[in-house]
Amino acid sequence: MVDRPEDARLASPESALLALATAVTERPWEVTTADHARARASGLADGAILHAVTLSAFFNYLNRVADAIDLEYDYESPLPRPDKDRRREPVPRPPRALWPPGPAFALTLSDRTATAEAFARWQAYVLDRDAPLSRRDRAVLVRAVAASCCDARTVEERADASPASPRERVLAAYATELTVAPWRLDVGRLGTLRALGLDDRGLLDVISVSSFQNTASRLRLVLSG
Amino acid sequence: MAWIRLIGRRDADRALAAVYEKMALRPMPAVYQPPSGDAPGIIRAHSLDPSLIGLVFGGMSASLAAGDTLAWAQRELVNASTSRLNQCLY
Repeated sequence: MVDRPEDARLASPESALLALATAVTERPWEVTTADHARARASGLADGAILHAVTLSAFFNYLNRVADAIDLEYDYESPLPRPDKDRRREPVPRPPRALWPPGPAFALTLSDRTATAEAFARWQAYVLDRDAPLSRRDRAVLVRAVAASCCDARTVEERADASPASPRERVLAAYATELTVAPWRLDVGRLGTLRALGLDDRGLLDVISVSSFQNTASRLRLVLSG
Repeated sequence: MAWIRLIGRRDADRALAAVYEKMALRPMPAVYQPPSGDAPGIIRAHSLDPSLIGLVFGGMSASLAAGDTLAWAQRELVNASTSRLNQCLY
């Protein structure tokens, strides 16, 4: 079902959940009010739609952390392990002029109070610190991820965080690769970061900031507020 | 072997051990418990920053596991679909 959604014989709400996860993960810049309307028409309530969007955005964080460090699969499953096609091309991004100017759905994360509060605490911890990465480094990573997600508002807010040095270009290049094709990451990519003088704790900071922003930009593209 | 250092239960200092203990108390399907008895790999992935574990798993993840807007099977559908699209085993 997950591998071949076109063949799925699903009840309508499940089809809609799959469509939402696909849109949030692969093309968040193309999500529109029509996607919201289709999800509603399947029988999903707005609370369920909000839940699904946020879950998918959050798993985009977890997936990137796992891929960034080549995390071993450590739990049992009766299902076969899917192959990873490292040569798969990422979904092409549209030119800047076609990036969406605002959110797609008239749903707000604050309608899930506990999630909104948890997200705000997570965001503050990841972005508002001076070590191991500087705030400037964090801003460079955030801007690079937002640009790869076509998240125009965050890119505009971080306009002063374009990479301005060889170090910042390495950080931005890593954040971009982690965003557009995490399945391509290899240990050599982390080597480019180690060459900047980052130790394992610093590498985790780069990974967690960049992966966090993958969640944040997806939420910002789809949800209001 | 992961590309950065991961610290399991056995080698955890007091602060990290306390975080692992707290995470283990969360309601979690048995299928997510690694047979090794160690903390789940995706949590150990954050072991160099114990404070982050609480925010990601004790906060964000826990809040998304709560409530009844989506049934457990529907949440798993969203999670598994996202992982598959990203070609990630997690």
